Amino acid sequence: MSYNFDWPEIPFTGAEVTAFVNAYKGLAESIYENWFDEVEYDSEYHTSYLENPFTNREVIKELLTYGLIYASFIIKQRSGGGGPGTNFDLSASPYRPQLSDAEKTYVIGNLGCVFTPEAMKSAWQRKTGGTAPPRLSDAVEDLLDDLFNNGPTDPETQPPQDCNLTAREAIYDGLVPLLPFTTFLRSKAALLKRYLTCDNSVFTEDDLPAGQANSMRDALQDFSDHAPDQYKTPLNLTTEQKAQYGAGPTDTVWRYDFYNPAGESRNLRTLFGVAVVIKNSSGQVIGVRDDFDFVYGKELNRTDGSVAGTPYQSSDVGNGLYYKDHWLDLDKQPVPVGTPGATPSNGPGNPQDIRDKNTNPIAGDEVGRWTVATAYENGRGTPVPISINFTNP
Amino acid sequence: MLTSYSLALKHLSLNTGAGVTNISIGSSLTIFDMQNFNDPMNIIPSSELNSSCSRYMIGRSSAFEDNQYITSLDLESPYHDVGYGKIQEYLEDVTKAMLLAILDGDSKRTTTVGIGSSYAKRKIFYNTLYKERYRDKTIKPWVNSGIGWTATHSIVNPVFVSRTSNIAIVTTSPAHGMTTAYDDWGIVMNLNTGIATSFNISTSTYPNGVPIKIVDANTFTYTNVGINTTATAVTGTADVKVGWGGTSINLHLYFT
Repeated sequence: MSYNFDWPEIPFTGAEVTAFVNAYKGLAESIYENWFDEVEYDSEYHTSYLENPFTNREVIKELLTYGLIYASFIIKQRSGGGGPGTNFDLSASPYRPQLSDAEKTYVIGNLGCVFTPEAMKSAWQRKTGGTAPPRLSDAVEDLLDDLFNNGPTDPETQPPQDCNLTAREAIYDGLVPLLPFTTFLRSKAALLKRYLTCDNSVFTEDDLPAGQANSMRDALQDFSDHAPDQYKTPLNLTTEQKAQYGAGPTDTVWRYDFYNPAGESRNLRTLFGVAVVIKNSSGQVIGVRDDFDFVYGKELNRTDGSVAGTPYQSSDVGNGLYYKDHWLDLDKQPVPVGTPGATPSNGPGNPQDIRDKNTNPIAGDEVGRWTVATAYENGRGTPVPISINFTNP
Repeated sequence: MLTSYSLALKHLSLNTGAGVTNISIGSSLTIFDMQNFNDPMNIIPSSELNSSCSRYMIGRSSAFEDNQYITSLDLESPYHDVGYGKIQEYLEDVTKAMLLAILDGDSKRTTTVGIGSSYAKRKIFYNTLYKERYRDKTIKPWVNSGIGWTATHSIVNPVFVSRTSNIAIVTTSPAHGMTTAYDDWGIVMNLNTGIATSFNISTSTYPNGVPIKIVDANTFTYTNVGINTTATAVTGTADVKVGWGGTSINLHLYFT
């Protein structure tokens, strides 16, 4: 099966080239065929392990396609066979920048690493020794206009969020002590309060309401011991990678999916959804790691290689999947575009529709959803890293 | 796909610099030029961005609510345009990863397709393109203990170094032993004292050394920015490395 690779014609000949080209095509097609199983959904080859832009299946396909000629050319040269290389049509060579290297260095160096027109103009003026008011050339003015019409922004210059609870949220917060103790709703309320008040410090066992650490550990242990294996995926990590999660060399690290009846019955579903669980060599649960974020609120997409439950950079906070192009799985839940078995949705969701269709301001655990979705509409919400360690009896 | 991307992927970026030879034969013109990877020694993916560029790209991706710097090569994502030069670097990264996955042994100087399952080869392919912190150092191409890509071929003894116009000239004794039958030699200089240390090569920046040009049995040169220096007696060693290339990597161009 070719998987629709549009392979270029190879202008080189020879037994070595032929063998290599066949091997190359076979491997490339197997990479494309197994991508979803091995890269996007297998814990061993997770997408985030790869450098950008190699995280995208279609980008990889293009690069594999065009890399064939280059790779086979090297094989041709190594084989030492006689004859010409090939004829290249130089008329279609890549475009060259319009500026010389010296000109590019001059322009970029003087713009400075700033992201507002005023700041960039100011930097330009200072570095070029100009005097106020700055008189920029038309070319630089046009460049700045172009930059800002395309919308690049520096996350650090975003206006600060309103980090105060609304009146309704304050009322809910006051009712927390009345919530059932056994269902982790108090823990969830504590996390939600952090999410709403822009407190993104790591939530640890010390932040759990009194007595909840043991019951949470017991619930996780029960899930670990009795839930079907399909919801528990061992992560094949190196010692160094384990250490990122705070796990020791002999500990095991697992990805537990609580979106199932087993998670629901143990009250873990709405608190964690999916989380990383650490067990010692005896199989006892000793820790759990997660990021408290929402597909219908703000989501955390770590780009710096850090792991769940650890501090993050604010620029990695983005809008939840509902508010971006997404597909829907069989349960009508949002999943990334291209997910096998899912169907395309009608593009990014309207915040108000999402709130009204998926939440309820007064009904059960949908109160939390309603609060998050409403906060999103007002530009509020800060994911909270969760790193809870348990002391086993 | 953006036109500049398409052109970048379809055509080699020629650098007709030193080493180019023009030969006129009747009405045709043949050019023999050195054509190799942009980074002829290393296998580290070039996609890592420097801090300033990374900051800028993260800002842009945040503005567009996208957690990947590049999601597509299509026109629909014009704000992810990183330029044709970067695209060609990506192409080199993937090409190297495929060569490493397919070819036998350390993949250097060979045309032999290695044995092993497709699964094992895919692991090598992914492993080559992983971020540093996720690389499996127990398998190709990052294998530790000196048997991986950066394995030292041999060790030579520089006795004199000089520098002219940012070109370092190294004389060894005894002869360095590198044959001109190959064009993939590199060097990591480890000189001991004084000005000689300015000729050294940082393995954190160049883990497999820098490419060299063989002058004769006892002399080689490499690019090394610094002040002009007359021939100076030195002590120390130099690790000889092998990078990309082969018996002859000259690209032939024909204009008729």
